[in-house]
Amino acid sequence: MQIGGANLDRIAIVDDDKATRDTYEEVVSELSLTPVAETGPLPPLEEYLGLVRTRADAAICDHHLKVQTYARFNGAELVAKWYEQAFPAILCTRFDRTDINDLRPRRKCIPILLNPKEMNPDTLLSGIEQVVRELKGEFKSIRKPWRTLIRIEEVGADSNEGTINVVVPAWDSKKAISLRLSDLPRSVQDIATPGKRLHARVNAGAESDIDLYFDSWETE
Amino acid sequence: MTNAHIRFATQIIKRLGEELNPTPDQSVLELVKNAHDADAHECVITLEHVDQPGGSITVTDDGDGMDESSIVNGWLVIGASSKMPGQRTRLGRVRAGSKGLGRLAALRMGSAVSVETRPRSEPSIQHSISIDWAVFDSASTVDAVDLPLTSTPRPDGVQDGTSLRISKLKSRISRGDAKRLARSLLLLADPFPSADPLRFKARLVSPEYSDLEALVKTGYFEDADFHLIAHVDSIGKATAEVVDWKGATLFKAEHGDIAVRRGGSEYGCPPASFDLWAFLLQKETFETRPTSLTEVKEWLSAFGGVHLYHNGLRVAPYGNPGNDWLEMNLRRVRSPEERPSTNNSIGRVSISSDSDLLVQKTDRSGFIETETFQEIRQFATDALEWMARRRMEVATKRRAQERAAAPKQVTKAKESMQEAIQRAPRQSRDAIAKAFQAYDRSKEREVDTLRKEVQLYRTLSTAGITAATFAHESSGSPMKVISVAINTIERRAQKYLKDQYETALKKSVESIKRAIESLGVLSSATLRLVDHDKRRVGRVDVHDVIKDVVETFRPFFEGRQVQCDVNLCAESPYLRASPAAIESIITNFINNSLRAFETAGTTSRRILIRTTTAHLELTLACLDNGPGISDIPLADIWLPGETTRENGTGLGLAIVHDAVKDLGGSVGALAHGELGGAEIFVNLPILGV
Repeated sequence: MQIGGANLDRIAIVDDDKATRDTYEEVVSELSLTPVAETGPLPPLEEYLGLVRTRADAAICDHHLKVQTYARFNGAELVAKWYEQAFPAILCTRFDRTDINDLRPRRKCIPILLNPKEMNPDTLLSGIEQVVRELKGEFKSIRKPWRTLIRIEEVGADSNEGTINVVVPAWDSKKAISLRLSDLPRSVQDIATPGKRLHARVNAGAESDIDLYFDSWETE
Repeated sequence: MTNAHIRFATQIIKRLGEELNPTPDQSVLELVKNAHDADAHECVITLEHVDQPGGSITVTDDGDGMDESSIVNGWLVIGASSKMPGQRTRLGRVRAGSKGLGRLAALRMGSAVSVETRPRSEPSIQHSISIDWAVFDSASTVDAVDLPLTSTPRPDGVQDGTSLRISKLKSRISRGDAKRLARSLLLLADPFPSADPLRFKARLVSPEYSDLEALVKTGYFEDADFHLIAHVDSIGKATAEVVDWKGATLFKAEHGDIAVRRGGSEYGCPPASFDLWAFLLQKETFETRPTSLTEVKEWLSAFGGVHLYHNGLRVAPYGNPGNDWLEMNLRRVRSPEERPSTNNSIGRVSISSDSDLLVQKTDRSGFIETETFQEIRQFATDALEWMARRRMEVATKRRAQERAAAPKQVTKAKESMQEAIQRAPRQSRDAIAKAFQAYDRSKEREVDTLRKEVQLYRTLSTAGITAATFAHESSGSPMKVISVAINTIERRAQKYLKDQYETALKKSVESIKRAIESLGVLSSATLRLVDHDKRRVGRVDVHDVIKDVVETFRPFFEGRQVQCDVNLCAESPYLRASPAAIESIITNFINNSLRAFETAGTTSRRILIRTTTAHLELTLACLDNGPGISDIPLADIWLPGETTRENGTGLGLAIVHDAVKDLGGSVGALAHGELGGAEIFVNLPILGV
């Protein structure tokens, strides 16, 4: 089937729960695509990345893969790595705010974050299409990165060492976004002090803070 | 027949060299590793005029040098690895340099390279070779460029070794780069205690290096409050112990204690050791020590973190500033008590392995994350977890001892007081004794109230933890499966039943979807309350929190036929608080009203949440049309344990009272407000609107 200009037929389903895999299979089948259920335990990440490409053309992936013994990596890591290798995948997960720190550094490489209750043939198809188009450089406005001013508000405040709070005035001048220091380039970590202003590329058209990503930090 | 060959355009050299060059310090390290592989004892790096493009880097070592064959068939061959499994150098070192790609990246930093080498195998000869990259850039293929190799007699007294100079650097090397290089060189060959004193050393000739060298030489390892020493042996069995600053063993563990979360299975990694020195960076801890807290903090800031050594050489980026490969900071944030972070500890994981189980990425950004690497990381994190559990156990015992000791101290204090009273003049003795007894009784009552309150908080905490666990579990797979499956049933039923769907299934399907929605809210509302970020203090927009809470409660309002209106002032009042504090005020207000409706059987139920501001003070009020406040004095509704409801905890408004007090505000209530029912309000000082 042609999706976003790419010929895709086999969709890998990566989820540690068999019942969930079964329900996703139904959705994939409705599109006349071939579901490929990935039963665990999965091999290490680097090995698995290539393995799936031999049997699928795209993937649906859950985030929490480490709860049981299904995988040693989480879905955000996997989907982001696939994106870097131009393999289309969507992350389908019921995430809560505690997952955001895991997702944020990889959000640039996770174009679609789908809530399972919204999973149906239409959202699946349009989701994969958006990823394929993005891999070809066609970004939706909510995903397009812009060079933007960033203001550092707090560094490691209130026993949260290892995190900083930043404000992106072009997105929302009143909302602080929490970032893990270890996810930032060393040059930013070295100069991170409250009140410091610097630039980065941010998808300032994002509708929610969950969708924001930061990239190409400039410190000079 | 003509024999054809694959040849490479010189452009390849440029691209490989430039694309594989992560940072200047990483590139220079690759040359230093060559010196290590040549069995050098020392390698000296000199930077000249590098603050501008055009400067030069010289790397000189006292190793075995290279003969003509080694230069032609080794050093100049890009991509061929000199590493053979099991094969070591003359001094028994495992080779650290790899395919020569890193070396190429380093050599391409400048426009020209010259090498002079004096081989150990030819004591009277020295060889030299120069590369001018501009010649390559103008040639069509790599093999079209001739590189003359000259051999001349070696002057007397000149030792074996190699000197390599990269000149006309394309980019400047900033002070930051030089500092990073100095740090990398100092850490490269294991500067930790117990390292081999005759080990390979690399030295940078620069002021940045001298400062850092002094710092690394000082070493404050003996000031560590805890030293974790863990090992995993050749069959994957781990052991560990923690010693204090005097070297006395505090805790000891066998494999089963460390690998408890993996059911005791062995670690699938080569033998490794893990040392971690953890510091309690508190003023009191250092008051009795010769070193100062500032000195130790400065040292940890320069070298802290857990570094990884493979066959005696450090592998970056593990332990670099901001690199938290063992997720120590994350674990500390989740559970801060008795856990080290990268800011208050320094450590080393050492692995010895000749095999290819651990392979570094081509761009030198660490190991490829194979099963073996993950197992090493697991061993180290398990050892950290074990230490945290033991330290927590000790802390819990200490608290229990303090609790047990408290009554004895009180009895002793009372006896002293009685003795003091006996020593007082006879005429005032009775009056003092009576006053003390009255004081003692009221203190007892206060302690008793507090004890009951603590018990209640504990019970509620347990209920909260249990609710959060269930919420997390139900929000996972079961909810996901029901959501997706009901959507599939709906689509297919519409497709196959066509007109009959409306009468046969639609109502049931819609009911299930609504029920899923309610269940989802139930779990997400519970999880939101325990969200760690909510307890962080920062700027909080009160209106945002109100809107969030009301939205969360929306399905509950619908289910109980409650109309909840929000009347917010035109401004956006904000204050410094945790979102959890503001949320707990609003949530408890709403819970109170919902319970009141239920108890009184109120029909056409209404709640109004209102904000007003005046003179940097916000009034947040919750009004309802329930039965109002009766059967309890108005002032007592804020006391813990005071409730008029059966099974009520009496803690809701007490929590509101405490939260508001912490924020410097005040509370108030009307038994019957504008809507006829209770009107409860809080006044909070704000930072602005």
